[in-house]
Amino acid sequence: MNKNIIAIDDDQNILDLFRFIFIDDSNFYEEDTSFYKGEKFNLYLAQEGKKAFNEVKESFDNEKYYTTAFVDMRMPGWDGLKTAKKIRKIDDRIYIVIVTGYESSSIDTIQKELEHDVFFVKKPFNQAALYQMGRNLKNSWNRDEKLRRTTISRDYFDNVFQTIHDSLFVIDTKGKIEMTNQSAEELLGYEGDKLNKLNFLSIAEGPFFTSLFEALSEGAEIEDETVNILLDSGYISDLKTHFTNSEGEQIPVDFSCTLMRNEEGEIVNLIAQASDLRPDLKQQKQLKQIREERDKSYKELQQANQKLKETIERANRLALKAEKASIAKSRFLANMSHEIRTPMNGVLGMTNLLEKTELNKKQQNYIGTIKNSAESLLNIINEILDYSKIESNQMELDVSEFNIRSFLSDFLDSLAIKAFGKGLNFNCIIYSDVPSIVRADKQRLRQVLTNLINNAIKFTKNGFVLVEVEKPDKKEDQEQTYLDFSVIDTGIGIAKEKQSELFNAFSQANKKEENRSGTGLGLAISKNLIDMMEGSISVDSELGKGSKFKVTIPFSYTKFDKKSLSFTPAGKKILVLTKNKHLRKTFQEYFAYFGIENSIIKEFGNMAIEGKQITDLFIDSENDSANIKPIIEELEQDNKSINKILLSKVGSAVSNNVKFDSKFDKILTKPIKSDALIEKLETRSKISKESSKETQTKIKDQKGINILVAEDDKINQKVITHMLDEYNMNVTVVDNGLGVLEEIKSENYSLIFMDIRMPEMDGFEVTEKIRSDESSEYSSDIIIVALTAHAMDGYEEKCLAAGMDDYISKPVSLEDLKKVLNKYIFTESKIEQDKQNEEGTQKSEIPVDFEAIKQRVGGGEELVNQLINAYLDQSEELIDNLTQAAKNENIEKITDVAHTLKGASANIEAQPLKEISKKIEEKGKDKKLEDALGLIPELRNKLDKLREYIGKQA
Amino acid sequence: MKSLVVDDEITTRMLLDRMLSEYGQCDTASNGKEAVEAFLLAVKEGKPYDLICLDIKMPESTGDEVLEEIRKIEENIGVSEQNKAKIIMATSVNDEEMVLNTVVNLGCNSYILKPITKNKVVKNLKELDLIQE
Repeated sequence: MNKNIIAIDDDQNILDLFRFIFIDDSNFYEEDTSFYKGEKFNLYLAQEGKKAFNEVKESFDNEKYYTTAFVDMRMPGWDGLKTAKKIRKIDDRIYIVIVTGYESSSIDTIQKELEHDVFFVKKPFNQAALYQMGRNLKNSWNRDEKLRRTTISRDYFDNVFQTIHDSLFVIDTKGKIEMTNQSAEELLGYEGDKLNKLNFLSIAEGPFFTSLFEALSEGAEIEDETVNILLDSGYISDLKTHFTNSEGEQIPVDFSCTLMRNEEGEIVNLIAQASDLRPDLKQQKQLKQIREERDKSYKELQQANQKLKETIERANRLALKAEKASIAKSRFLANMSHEIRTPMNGVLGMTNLLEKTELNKKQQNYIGTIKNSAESLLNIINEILDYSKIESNQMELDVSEFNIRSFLSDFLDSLAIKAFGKGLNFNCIIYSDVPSIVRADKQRLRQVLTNLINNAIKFTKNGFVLVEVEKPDKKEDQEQTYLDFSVIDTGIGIAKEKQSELFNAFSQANKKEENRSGTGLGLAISKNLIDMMEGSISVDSELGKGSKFKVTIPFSYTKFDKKSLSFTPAGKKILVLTKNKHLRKTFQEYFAYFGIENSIIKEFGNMAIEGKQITDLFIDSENDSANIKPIIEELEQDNKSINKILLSKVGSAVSNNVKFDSKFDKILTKPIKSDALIEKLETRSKISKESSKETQTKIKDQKGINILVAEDDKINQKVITHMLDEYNMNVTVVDNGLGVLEEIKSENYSLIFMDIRMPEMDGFEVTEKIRSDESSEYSSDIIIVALTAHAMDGYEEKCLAAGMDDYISKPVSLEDLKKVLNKYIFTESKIEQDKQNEEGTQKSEIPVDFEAIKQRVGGGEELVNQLINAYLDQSEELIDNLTQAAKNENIEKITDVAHTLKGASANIEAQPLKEISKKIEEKGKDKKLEDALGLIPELRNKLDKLREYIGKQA
Repeated sequence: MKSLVVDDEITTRMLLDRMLSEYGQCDTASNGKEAVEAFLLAVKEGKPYDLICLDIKMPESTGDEVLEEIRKIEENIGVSEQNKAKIIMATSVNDEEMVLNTVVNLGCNSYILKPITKNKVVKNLKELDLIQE
């Protein structure tokens, strides 16, 4: 019997009491007669919950169990409830007696938490009662345990009995079936407990069974040998017999049987076991068939898969081959075209030269034809080259910033000459809200527009060709916009059904037309280029009436700033007279663009000029000359110094009407260009140019320029300051955004190089602070150039949007830095001047600058002499090396020697020698041996001059 | 401050020698081999160089090779980070990429763009805490 109990209380006195109650013999409470000590317990005492828990756990692992735990409720560490719960987790059977010192309202909670078998004893407790309790619980536990064990074995038996594969029957001596297992039910086809109500004899027939139960139930003497064997040995096996199932079918079984006797030796039960002997042919056959079918279809599937795989691979190979072939073809074409172009240049060049020699008329004619043919051949080749470049993905966009108005005027003239030559009107209207400074690939844009305009001129016999540039959305303050370029003509037009094919390669809409010439690639190339620029092209045309091609291309642009226009129209009153409505519109838009408000644009002949006092007059040469004279005379009466400008077609001789020449001050050629227009309007003084010169001189002194570098990376700091050292400017470095704000408060900086990512405050934030500064604590016109590691499109916009002026992407190159400084710190002419100085106009005349050496290295006469002598000795050797290398045509060696000479010459401030060495080095780097060799005599010459000069100085 | 100038070109050597001699002993070497020998000798004497100015472009072994070798030697004899020689690479503008590589990867401390001026040298020395402001 298990007598283990455990008591847990933080009070040692209580634990002593437990020991007394359950163990000790001493009559501690003698007077209590009811105190009964009949039984010894195994008592474990613990002063804290955790210790008790450990004991219970360790015991459990060693198969020693506690029946009851007396747990004090209030304890330091684990309280009673926690202890009880922990213990219960180990052993769920244990009785818990909660010993509590007060009426605890949490009894319900405890009961709930511990779920079962919890008892409560209130302190102070009656010792006898506690003892009784311990005893009862202990007994109760042991009883429970016995029951638990029986239950376990019964469960165990049931499980085994039910899971056995053979059929089992427990039968009483009369043949009544007491118990069967699952297999038995399945074998005989009975469900549930129907089988249990049957007599075994109704299942198993035959003399053996009849005799057996006769013997068992009536104790009759039996002659059946098998029965007697069974009765004697209590066991029989391997008896082949038949059972009858619920359907009445006979099932062959292998039968075994055991007799069970009670304690008195009487037979009480018979345990029969039967195994099914039916061959499972049908099932097996089915199974086999299924397996075969499965294998077969699996094989078929595998074969199909294999075929599919092969087909896909083949298709991929073919596709790849085709693609490779296509690219190779295009590449070949591109290369070939290039190869053809080279000799073509020879043909053209020579033809040009030949043209200038003395030739008779006939010969001149021939040359003219050769030239024309060669030029058109070259054009065709160029188109093929472009197309094949696009096809083989070799074409790349080269995006740069440019002024769209000057861009157009650069190439429209040559096209206009063609148009005017055909007697067509040609105008270009640029709407006033079109921004000037945009970013795009201008070469490609020009190619597209030239192609469209050329086509328009080619297919138009009379009427006009008009180019319009519009901004379709009227929103301002954006950094991205679409621009529409429309080329409108009054030519032969294109039939609707042909329009869709227009942009396909090698197709020409007007195949039968006499005008057909060229490759038919022009529009296809344009379409591809426009696609590359993420734009679109559309055509609107009617046969016999004309066409309109519209190209829409996205541009990023710098915000339109009218202040940047150098022209001030104050005091001007302008009159424009022309019959041509496109020309009138052109003027109107230009005037709007330049902010010229005081202007009258009239159709010629519709006279009556309001207010007069005209300061500038534009008259179209197309106007009826007879009427011009009186108008001018009238206007001159009003204002003697009126500025008269004749609008004349570009390329046409104005002298066809001499009268014009004498009357007019200036001629403005059509198509009208914005800068030319302004030039004609400006008075003769060149104020703007002079003022720009002033600003140049102002910033010439670089010493006064303060540059701030905000960058937290030490290496980058160093790189940038070193580079700036080259410019001899005052450079200050800070490593965070707050530093920038502090610096510019105290010092006047011209330019800040600002890292975007900085601690404390990033570049964007700092810029915004500076730009939005209302208290003018910082000079807000300070130039801010972002240093960004994000060489991504769009980041630039982000920088500009934050108010920065420009950006350089990291790693910073000297080239980038130079560009920025040139753009913002030195004016352009200044750089040129510098460059010239550097490359030797003035300084180069002096072979060596002694003063500069002294200044640079901080030394005196003596050092200079030493240096120069060393230099001369060394250069003897270097020149020898160079000569040797030249003989061996060793370009690397030449480059290296030139490099060394360059450095040495720079050290002694010998500019001419430095320059020539530099040139040789550069040629060497480009592997231009001949060029490099060609420069060596000059180097010798310069060195001789140096010696001579030094000799004179000495 | 003890320094070593390594350059195959004599005027640069002279200039640097002159400028650095103001702050203490300055030795010169005209190629990588001499430079490493001088460096080893100085170490042996127990008076290693505080500063080495290395030309990046020299015949035979180039500046970055010399730099690598010197740093390897220091590593091998266990020179602590702060006691390692400060090394300035001297270069012309077009080698810049290479210099950046040596700064970042090979452990040179600074670089100086040719042509060399006193200002640049002094600035570098200050930055490397070799001389006081």
